[in-house]
Amino acid sequence: MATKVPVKSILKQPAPPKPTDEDKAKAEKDRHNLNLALQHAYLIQHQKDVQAQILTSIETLLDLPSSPIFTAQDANTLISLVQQFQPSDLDALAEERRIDGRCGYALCANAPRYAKLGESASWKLSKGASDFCSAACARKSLYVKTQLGEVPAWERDPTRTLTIKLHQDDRPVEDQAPDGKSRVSGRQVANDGNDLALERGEKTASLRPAQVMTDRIVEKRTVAHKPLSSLSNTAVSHTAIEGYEPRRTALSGKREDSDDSDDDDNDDDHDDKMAEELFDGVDE
Amino acid sequence: MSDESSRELSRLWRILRTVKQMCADRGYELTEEECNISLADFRAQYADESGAPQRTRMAFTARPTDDMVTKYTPLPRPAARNNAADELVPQIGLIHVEFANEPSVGIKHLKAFAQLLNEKVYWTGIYVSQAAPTPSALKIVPSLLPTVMEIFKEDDLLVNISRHELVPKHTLLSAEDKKRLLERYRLKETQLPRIRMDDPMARYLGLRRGQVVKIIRKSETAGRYASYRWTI
Ligand SMILES: [Zn+2]
Repeated sequence: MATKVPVKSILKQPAPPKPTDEDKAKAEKDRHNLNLALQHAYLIQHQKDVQAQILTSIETLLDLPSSPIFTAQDANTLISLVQQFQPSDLDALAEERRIDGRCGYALCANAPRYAKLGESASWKLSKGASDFCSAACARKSLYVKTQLGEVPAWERDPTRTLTIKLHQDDRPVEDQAPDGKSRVSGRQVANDGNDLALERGEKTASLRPAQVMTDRIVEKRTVAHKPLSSLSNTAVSHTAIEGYEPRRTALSGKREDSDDSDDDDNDDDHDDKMAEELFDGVDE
Repeated sequence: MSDESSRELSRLWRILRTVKQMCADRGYELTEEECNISLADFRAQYADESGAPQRTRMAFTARPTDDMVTKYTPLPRPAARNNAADELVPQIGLIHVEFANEPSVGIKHLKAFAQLLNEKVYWTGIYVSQAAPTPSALKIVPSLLPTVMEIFKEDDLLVNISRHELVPKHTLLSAEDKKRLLERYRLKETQLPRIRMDDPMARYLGLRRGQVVKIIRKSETAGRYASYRWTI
């Protein structure tokens, strides 16, 4: 049997007196990690901000139209607010409006069919259709929905903006785009091919991921799905048990100085007894 | 009384009992009788002439007990810089519970409830809904902090899960007890095992991020033993 090997503590050793290259490298690495963490924090904050904006937009759109027949301003509000939406946000809007007793299409003042049909709406109409007052409104809403970007607003290229157009029935007669930028004659001829291309993501304006499966999107996706807790605790090792890193060596190693009789086997009993004493007050 | 309204009555009777027991278990002032109201008393108090239960009548407000106030009082920080007095304000207050009358709950309902909590200065609000609120409505909840809004579905309150024999006893540690625990084991809180805030028992106790809960299990071989979990 070999002679007794001195116990080597795995606790952090006191820092050596003068900074070595290793220290500098470590400091560099720490700074890098800090920057990385900050960057992620900013991204998450940005995402939260945008989500809050979308929520506010949904709230605003809940109260449209401002009069039984929508005004030009209502139309502009709708067009500008839905730019940030993903298609699912428009569905959420329709659902909220239905719950509030309004047609799911934000420019319509009628009651949804759900109000008349009640629970039977679920089998009389296809899913979502009961949120609207009529098939016409459902179609108008779908027309807007197909123009929305599938990519979440916080991952979009901020330099690219999206111009949403209302269904032709709801456009002003002179067909003026909301920002007055484009006034294209011949648009009245419903350009089905154009719409379809948009829907398929063949046009840049549709902001669909299908057109550009770039790594930019992939990378940011992973960021977006990271649980928040990873921020506060970046180092969860694979040896952790339910998030708890066994530290027996450290504890018993340390205890040896003061309490030699204590061996590892009864450590647990000992600790539990102490804990019971400690918290007697708590568990009446 | 129709079959349906009598079924609904006993459903809501169970739900109200669970909610009141839950509040009492958290440390709010509620009497034994309130927590264990009989079906007959429930009918007398909360049903209309036709025997149908009225959810709007079931709303109630409760005060935290002194014990609960103590438990929710933060520790003075040794290096408190400016207003040390500010930090010792108990992080708890009145709780208000409401039962949604409408079958679907959207943004407007939760906004209205949030406004009520704000106006009446309730610390915590519990909103019991018949179906899960819309995803957009749920997004309001975190934006209200430090006011706490909790949403429970009626179906989740039919049975009091904490009374189930397989659920061990969970007790919230005060800031003082948490400090002593960490000192005793020379641990950082991040080294404790965890419990998620959406865990059913964490929701039952209204645990907040960073709190530590003591879980006492009974074991055939070891008698009682305690473990601790950090709320994330
Ligand atoms: Zn309509």
